[in-house]
Amino acid sequence: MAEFLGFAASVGMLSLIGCLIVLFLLEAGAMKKEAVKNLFYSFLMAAGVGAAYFLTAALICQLTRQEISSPALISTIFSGEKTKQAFAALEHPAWIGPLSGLFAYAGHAAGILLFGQFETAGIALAFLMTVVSAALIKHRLQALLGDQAAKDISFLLLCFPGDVFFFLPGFMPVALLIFAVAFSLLGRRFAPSKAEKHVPAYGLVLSVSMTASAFILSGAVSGWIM
Amino acid sequence: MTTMRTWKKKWAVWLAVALACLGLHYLVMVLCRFIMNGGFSLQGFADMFWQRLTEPGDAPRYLDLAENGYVTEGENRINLVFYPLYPLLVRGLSYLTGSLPVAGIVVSQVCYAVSSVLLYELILMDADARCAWDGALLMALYPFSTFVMGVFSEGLFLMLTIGALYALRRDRMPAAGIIGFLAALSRTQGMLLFFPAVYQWIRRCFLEKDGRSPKFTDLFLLLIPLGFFAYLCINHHLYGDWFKFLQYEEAPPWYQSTQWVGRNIAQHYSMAVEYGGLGYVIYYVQIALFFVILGVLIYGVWKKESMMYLLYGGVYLGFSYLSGWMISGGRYMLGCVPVFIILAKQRDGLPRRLILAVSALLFFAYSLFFYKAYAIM
Repeated sequence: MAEFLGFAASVGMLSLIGCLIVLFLLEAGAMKKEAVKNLFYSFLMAAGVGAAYFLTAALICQLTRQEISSPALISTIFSGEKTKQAFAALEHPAWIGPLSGLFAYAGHAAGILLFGQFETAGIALAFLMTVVSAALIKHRLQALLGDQAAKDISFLLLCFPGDVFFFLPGFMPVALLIFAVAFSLLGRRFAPSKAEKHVPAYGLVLSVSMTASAFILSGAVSGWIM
Repeated sequence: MTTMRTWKKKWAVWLAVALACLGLHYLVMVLCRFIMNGGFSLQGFADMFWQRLTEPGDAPRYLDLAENGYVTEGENRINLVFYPLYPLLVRGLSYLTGSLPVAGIVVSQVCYAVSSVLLYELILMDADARCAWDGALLMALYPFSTFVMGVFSEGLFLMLTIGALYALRRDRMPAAGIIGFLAALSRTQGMLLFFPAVYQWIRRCFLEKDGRSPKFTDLFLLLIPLGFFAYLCINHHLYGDWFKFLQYEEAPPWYQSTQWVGRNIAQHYSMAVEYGGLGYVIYYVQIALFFVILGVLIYGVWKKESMMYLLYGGVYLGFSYLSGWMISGGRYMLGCVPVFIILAKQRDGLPRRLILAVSALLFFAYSLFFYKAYAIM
């Protein structure tokens, strides 16, 4: 319970800081209202999916390993080799890969700002990168395919098998951000669709995708993936 | 004639606000005495008044500072952790009152009364008189507001904080700077006023359509961090160490450290479980207050409250909860004034009335605990 409250407090405080920064940028005219709406939607979407991944992982961990030890809650749940390496690199940064190394140094800097809470900083940074990426992708898709398709596809993109790693320290949040920026810039070349597009059999696609995601999730918890 | 009548009306309202807010505290004192004694006697009330307002917690340390100043030898050298303005004022007034504790109580209660009026006027800038009244009442009914009545710096800090915010809203930068300087000399959190000050300056000079250009007098805002620097100068003058106060804060009896908010909240819960009895007066309260205030600030974001208030509230909350081994969180959060402003501006309806009602209940309960000498500090 203590860790849960601490985590909730961290999330709340960082969310408030984020809100205040966005509000100031909006007031200063450095951000448009549409961009803020997209960011907010992506934040809610990523928070919902991230919470679902975390709770499911905690449940699987509790059932298969009987115990979730503290204080390193998330790094205990996700026990794969590469994930453990990424968490360790936050406190003692090393160039463990081009993208992973970038994340390690950025996460380390964030951890110093949070008074030595490197795990929290790593998770927060991964989450922030995912939110920004989702907002960029949704914004470009909105222009290309319409609002409904943009919402559907951007949500689906967070539910593909393996997407849990977008919420963990490592190379994946950085890779997603690079992809999102590239997609946002290159997507301008394509003409926008005149009609609203829809993803066919969306419900079925989402269900299958998330079930496969759960399979990958259990692998991440058991340690035989990443 | 009209101006005179308007001023008379204003003074009447201000007096009513001040007396109502002070009066609520005295009413609770009388009721608590009645409960504790199974009856009321003037002598018993006076004894309780004196004992609980001049002896618990930090009060003896403020009185010692007022009498002897900062010392470098003996047990009282750790009084360095307390800022100088409140003891200075107490010392100054004691030449009139002839008694340091009496001066301490007078300074606190007068400052608190003025802060109620200032809060009323601040809220009145954006809302109607009913909201302004509710804001002053919410501050009076804050569960740990009893400290404004005794030898503590809360009343002074509230007056200076609200005064600075009021000056910023009126675009009176020199006044805001001077008041902020004094606030920074009364509590550590006083220097946080620099954040809303800078924001308000940027807003007035660069963001508002009918804004103004920067003026030389805007430099007065730099006095706010200079207030904290003045306190550091005291440290350096006495010990040759700018941050000597941190050493004393880390040592007994405070054991304070700086840790991330999440870690402190987790620690509060562990302490609440370990020291069951203290949980409901210190640790659970601090956890609840954190989330309630966070919720109110996020509600303020949703309601598009002034960024100046949100910024100060967020910075104040975050800074206060960076303190490890905190045991006075209830008292510290009285200074998070934007909470009262945001709640007072709610639409008049059931939620606002419920908030006032619940505040009144908790105010009475925690005042009773305080007067019964529970560990509320």
